[in-house]
Order: sequence, then C-alpha cells, then structure tokens
Amino acid sequence: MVTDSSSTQPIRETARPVHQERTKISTHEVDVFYGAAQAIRKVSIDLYEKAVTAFIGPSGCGKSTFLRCLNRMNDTIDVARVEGTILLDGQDIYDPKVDPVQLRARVGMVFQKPNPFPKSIYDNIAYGPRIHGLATRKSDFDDIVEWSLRKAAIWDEVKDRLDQPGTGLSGGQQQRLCIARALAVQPEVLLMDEPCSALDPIATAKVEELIAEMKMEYTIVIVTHNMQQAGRVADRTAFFYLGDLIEYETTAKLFMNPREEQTEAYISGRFG
Amino acid sequence: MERYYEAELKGIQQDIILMAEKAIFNTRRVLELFEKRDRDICRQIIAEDEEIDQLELKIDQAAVQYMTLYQPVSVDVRLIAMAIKTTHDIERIGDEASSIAKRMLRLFERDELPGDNRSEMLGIPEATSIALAMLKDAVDAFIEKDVAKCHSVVDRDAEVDSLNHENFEGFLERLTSERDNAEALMELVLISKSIERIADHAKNIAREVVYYVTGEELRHSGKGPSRSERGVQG
Repeated sequence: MVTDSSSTQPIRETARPVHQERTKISTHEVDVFYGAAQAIRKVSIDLYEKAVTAFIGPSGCGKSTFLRCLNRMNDTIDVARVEGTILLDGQDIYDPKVDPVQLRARVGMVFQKPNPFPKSIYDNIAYGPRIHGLATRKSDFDDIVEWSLRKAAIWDEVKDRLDQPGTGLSGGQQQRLCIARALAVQPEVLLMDEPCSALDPIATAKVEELIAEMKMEYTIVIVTHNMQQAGRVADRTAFFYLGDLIEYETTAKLFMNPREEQTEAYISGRFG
Repeated sequence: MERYYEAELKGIQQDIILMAEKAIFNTRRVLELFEKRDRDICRQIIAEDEEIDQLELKIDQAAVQYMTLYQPVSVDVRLIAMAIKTTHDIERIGDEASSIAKRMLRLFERDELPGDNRSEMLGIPEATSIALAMLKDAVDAFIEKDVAKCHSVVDRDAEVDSLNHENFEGFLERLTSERDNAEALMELVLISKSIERIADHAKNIAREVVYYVTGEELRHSGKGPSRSERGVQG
C-alpha cells in the first residue's frame, strides 16, 4: 500500500511506485494557438525525471499539440504560436538563444507511424550523430549504431543486415529502429506520440517493455489513446480535454479513483 | 452516456442485491426461528442457503468475465472488486444462518433447548435483531450509495460483539449449575458466535460499499475498530 502524493488517503496501488521526484520539464501557463484558434489553455505541469508520463484524452484535446511544444516541434508550423514558459532543467526552451536543433537532440521524438529514412539500417542510426558531430571515425559510428540498436532491443534482429533498407523491416521493427535513431543522439527526454497505434499486440508489447527499460535512464512522455497502455507503462497520467489539463495524478490513482467527473467519464467510456 | 455493455454491470449489481436479500431473508427467519421454534423454518433456511451459494458462483464468474472483457477502471473496477469480496461475506452469512438452523434442529430433536422462554437464550435474539438491521442497512447503503449509513453499520458492530461477550459469560455461568444441559449450552454459545459473525460480515459489506462509492479503504485504517483491536473475547 502506498499513499498518493496529493492526499493522505491510502489507495489500492497497482502500478509501480513513483521513484523519481526530480522535475525534468516544468511548464507554466502554456497557451498554444493555431492562428486565432486556441488549442491549449494555461497548462502548467511538472514532468519528472526518469519516469514515464502519459497524456490521454479524446482526439482534438490538445495532448499531441502540447507534447510537440516540449521540443519546439510546433516551430515548424507557421500558424502555431506558443505562449507561457517551458523549462528543461530550469532553462527556458523558448529562449531565443536556444537552438531548436540542439534542443531536439536533448528531447527526442518518436511518432505514431514509424518513419525510417529511406536509407540503410546503419545510416538511419548514424545520421543524427553525424549531423550533430558526435563522432568522426568509422569505428565510433559502429559503436554508436550497435549501442543504439541494443538499447532499442532490436540489435539481435538486424545485426546481420545493417546495410539493408530500414523501410524493409516489419512495422514493429521499424518503430524500434526509430527509437534507436532517437537514442543515438543521446537524448535526455523521449517524446512518444502514440508509438504503438500502428503496431500489432506483439510489437506493442516489445515497445512497452522497451519503455519500461528506458525509463531507468530517460524521461519519457507518451501520448496514447490506449487506456490499458497508459495503465501498464506510465507512472503518472495527465488527462486533457478541449485544450485544458483536467487532471494529473499517479496512474493508479487516476484510473482507480479520479478526482474529476470528466476524467471518470472519459476513462470509463461514458463520454459524450 | 450509457455504454452498450452497461447491462452487464447492472446485472452484477442486481445479482448482489438479490443475493443479499436472500441473506437478509434467512437472517430474519433465524430470528423467527428463535421465537417460534419451528423445525420447518430450520429446513427452509438450510435449503435457501444453496441458492445463496449458487448466486455467489454466478456473480464471481460474471465479475471475472467483466474484468477480462471490458478492463473496467475507476468506480467500475471498484464495483467489481467489491462484488467479489461482498459475495463472499454474503455467502458466509448464509452459511452462518444455515449453521444456526442445524444447531437449532439438533436442540429440537433432542428436546434439549433449555426452557421455552426467550430469556433462556440470553441476548441472542437481541443480537440477531441488531445484526439483521445492520445487514439491511448495509444493503440499502449499497443501493443508495449512502456512506453515512455504512459508517453507522460499522459502529453498531460493537453492540453485537458486546452482547456476544455477555452471552458467552452467561452460558458459561449456567454451565456450572446445569451440567446436564452442557451440550445445549455449548450449542447456544456457538449460535451466539454465529450471530456475531453475521454482524461482522454486515460490517465488512458496509466497508466494501464505502470503498466502492468513495475509493476510501476502511480496513486497517483505525476507522471502525475490529473486535481484536478492541480486545473483545469470545
């Protein structure tokens, strides 16, 4: 039995305990606009280091938009405007002095649909370290490629065909290749936008297992439509609705005894 | 919005109520039995217990199936958790009532029930009335999601514990002067203990209802102390 962080009331905790309490990312009253339309309203949240946080909510609730703020991916959308503060280790990531490309090396991203480059498996991994100047010698690149593929639990499946196209792998393997590609530039945070939505249950299980292993070293934020997945992998879960952060709790508390009626209605399928 | 599988959950709720009503009926018949001393009532209580057992199996199976198929969360998963635990408590109430009926039958058959007067049973009928009221209130609290009523059920358990303790002392005292009645007195001690257990199960049901409604856990929480926590013997 553990005690929920926000209350002294004991709960029937089924998720793993939340070990890490150091804040990695802290946002304060973040608003996001697409032109005149406001997609995110005054979201303030602390995301903890070496823990998995899940963002859930119905389509259009803003969870992916908010995720994309965390490594300034919204900069690539002309009409998008982000207001408020987002701190990574206390540093404002929207400070003009911050290079978005360097930021995205620290805060990597894995997308819904596996998107390997039309290159060999080896080059998919070596690309990032090359443009970030992390290695120069062939042997160093070899080490990074093997380390990254091992970290992403796909080395044994691809080690004998590193020169073959990444696009030739199965969907689940492609997604793990993309995770390896993100890890190759040694990020601190990994943002995952519905990483398993295009995968079958076996591939999903492998990615989830990988998430559980990766959280020992990385801060992970995952957007998912799959409640059971949030329950399985996340230490904390945040529920978004119509651009608002409605509730943010330990995952077990949120799924066992949510504070807000809107959360209750959404997670139990009584929404609408 | 009502979900397309809502009927499954409501079916479990309705079966819990049906099972509890049968346990209430049997407990009420136990009280009637103490008054009328009728062998037929004994036989009816024993037969009715089989139906309670079957309902326990049905509800447990439906609860496990619901968890497997619908992966419930929040108040739904709390209802399922409550269903599995509460059916066990209700089933035990049925067993205790059946056990009392069997003991009473033995007493009737041997013509050993000391006297025809209710006072011969000391505080057993009074404890049964309280246990019955606790059980009814626990079930009403489930239907009405009434947490205050649950707390009142938990509080009243002490009265039954106390009566059982007094009964135990009273029958023990009589044992010294009524050696010939030893077996009958022992049966009455055990009947008193069964009533005390029925009240305990009613208290458990009330605690489970609180958990179902609020998520609050009363067990081992210092709220509604258990018998052993109060140091009650017998």
